[in-house]
Amino acid sequence: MTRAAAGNAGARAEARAMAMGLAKGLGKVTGWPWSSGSRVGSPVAVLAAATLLLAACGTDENLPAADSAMVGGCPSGKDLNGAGASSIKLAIADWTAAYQGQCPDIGINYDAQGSGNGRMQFIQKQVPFAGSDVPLPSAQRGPAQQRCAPGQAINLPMAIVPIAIVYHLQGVAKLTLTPSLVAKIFNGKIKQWNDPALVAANPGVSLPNKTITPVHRSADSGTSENLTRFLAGQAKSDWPYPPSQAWPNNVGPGAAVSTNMVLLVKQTDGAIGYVDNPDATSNKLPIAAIDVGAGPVAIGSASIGKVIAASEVDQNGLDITVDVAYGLKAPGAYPALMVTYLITCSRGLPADQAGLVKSFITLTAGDQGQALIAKAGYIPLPTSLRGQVQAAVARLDGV
Amino acid sequence: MTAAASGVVLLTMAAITVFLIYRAVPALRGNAANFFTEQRWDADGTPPRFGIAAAFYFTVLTSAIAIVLAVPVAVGVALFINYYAPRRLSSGLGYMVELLAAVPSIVYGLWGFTFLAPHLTGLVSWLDRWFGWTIVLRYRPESAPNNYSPLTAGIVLAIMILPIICSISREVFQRVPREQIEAAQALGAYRWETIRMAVLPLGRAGVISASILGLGRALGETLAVTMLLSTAFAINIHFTETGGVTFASIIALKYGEAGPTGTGALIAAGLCLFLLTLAVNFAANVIVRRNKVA
Repeated sequence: MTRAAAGNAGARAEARAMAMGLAKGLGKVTGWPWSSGSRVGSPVAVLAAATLLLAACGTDENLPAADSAMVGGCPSGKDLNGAGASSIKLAIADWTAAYQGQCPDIGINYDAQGSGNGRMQFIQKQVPFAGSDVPLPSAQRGPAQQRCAPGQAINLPMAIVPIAIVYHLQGVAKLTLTPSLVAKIFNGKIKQWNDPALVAANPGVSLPNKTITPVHRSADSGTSENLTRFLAGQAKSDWPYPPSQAWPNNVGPGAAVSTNMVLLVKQTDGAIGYVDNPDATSNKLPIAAIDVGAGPVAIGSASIGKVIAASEVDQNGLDITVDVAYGLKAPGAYPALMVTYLITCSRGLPADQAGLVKSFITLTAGDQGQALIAKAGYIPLPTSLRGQVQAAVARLDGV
Repeated sequence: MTAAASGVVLLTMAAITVFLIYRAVPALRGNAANFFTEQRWDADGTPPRFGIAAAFYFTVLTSAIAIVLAVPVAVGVALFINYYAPRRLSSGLGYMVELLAAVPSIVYGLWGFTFLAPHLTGLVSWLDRWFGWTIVLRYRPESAPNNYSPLTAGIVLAIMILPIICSISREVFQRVPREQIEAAQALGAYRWETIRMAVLPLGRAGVISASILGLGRALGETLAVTMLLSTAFAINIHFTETGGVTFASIIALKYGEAGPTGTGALIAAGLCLFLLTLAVNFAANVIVRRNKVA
């Protein structure tokens, strides 16, 4: 322990020196000793220094990510592997590019095989972090805690992924749906595009006399689970099924993954489906506005932010979960969304992985990391939630 | 040496069986529904309810459609290459057919998903119009206007298993003794009569085993079927309507998000597929043996 203490003392001196360097305007990221090839001391010292540097810049309660120190120093050059939800695939790609801009030696591999698969791999110690569209379910809490012992398995909200109701209808560029209409379409109660209920919800739009093809995800998916939560929360009487990863009925064709969903909707005139917003926008699919009672609302940081503001955020140690207000009927709210989490250990990861995970998550939760993914169609975490996540990340055991 | 090699194969089979049973039993114990008749799959629910009725039905149905479509074509192609085609054409054609086997199944899946299914609408309504009385080919107007149906999956599977059936049939036909063919010709038989009298009867056992190999592939084919079928866990006797799920496709579609019970349930489905394939192979052996004696 004396060695570690000595290391910490050295690191502290180093951090102070560097903070001073920054203050004098001398510290350019690339000029820092650890990124210029010759690494100073062990990753231990580097990370401790980075943490202290952050601590020197902000208060304990709400740590702003020091912009030039997004990564918080490059840990030793091993690869970081993660697995899980495909909804944040594009975000991870953006983050990886940004991370490698600073730490080109470190490869980041994200296996987008689905939330459940990611959680399983995390519990089986195959990956040090997992992406998941839902927080660890209660059945997996125990095994996950065991995996992280003596630390805690934690959920960290990392991106908000709006769920887009996408459609393909020749000649219709604008479509508004109420949750009850979405429910009736997806359980086969409304079969024609010119159904009186649809016409009533879309004044001024001429809807063709065409059969609706509602497409669902045939593989179990977090997107299905969150969409069905939204439907159950908003239109209980039209959506009798409990929320589940597996699509609950046999109406319409199925698409195994979101890519297939996009393909199917694109090639079928009259189709309607649901995908995460990044997939919808990158494929230029038309997206329906959702009317929860006070007029059509489109996906945007304001309409999503309203829902998050109305949602309850639970924090337990470093574990943060958002109980999304799927039933919110406030004007201007768009409650079809999922909060995607990165699941990792607060402590208890092998030393080489802990440093990597912490530095990567420091980037993803940082202001720049969050701003980065907005372009792809994600909604950055709102300020208060982001501050909470950043504070938790700063307290992660980086060693 | 050879004994050791066969021992390894047997051990592997035994190990697979034991593993499947070991992992499947806890999930099956917790199942609140009848595993063989339930048409739902809610393995991680409380209580878990899951059954293989729909998967069994659609696995057998799609494979049967594939075999019915593929075997006549494959045998025809094999006969054409061996006995009718000019030499230059026959080697090229044989090569082309074998090339079909080199196409990865994801490509077949994508082709079926983006090209074949959207273009089958005409065929489906034609079948409905003229053969709707068979009930199985009826297309009810209220069903979804897509062709992600057992029929489409069967057609794609048929193309996938065509090369294996065709090339094995060719080899078998080549082994028909020259004297038999010459004897038939000496009796004044035309080419088609020669084939009917000499080639087909002697090749029958071989064609059957080739078909069984193809059937084995069709039963277990995952990717292409997973892309095409919709995971509707409801037995539907109308072949041309959207829907369906097979053993392999449930596993592929559910594995990513399965919880502990769910994984066990999927392994139980895998065990059923394993047993089904074993049963088919066993039946094939019996048929082949009987045909050889005759």
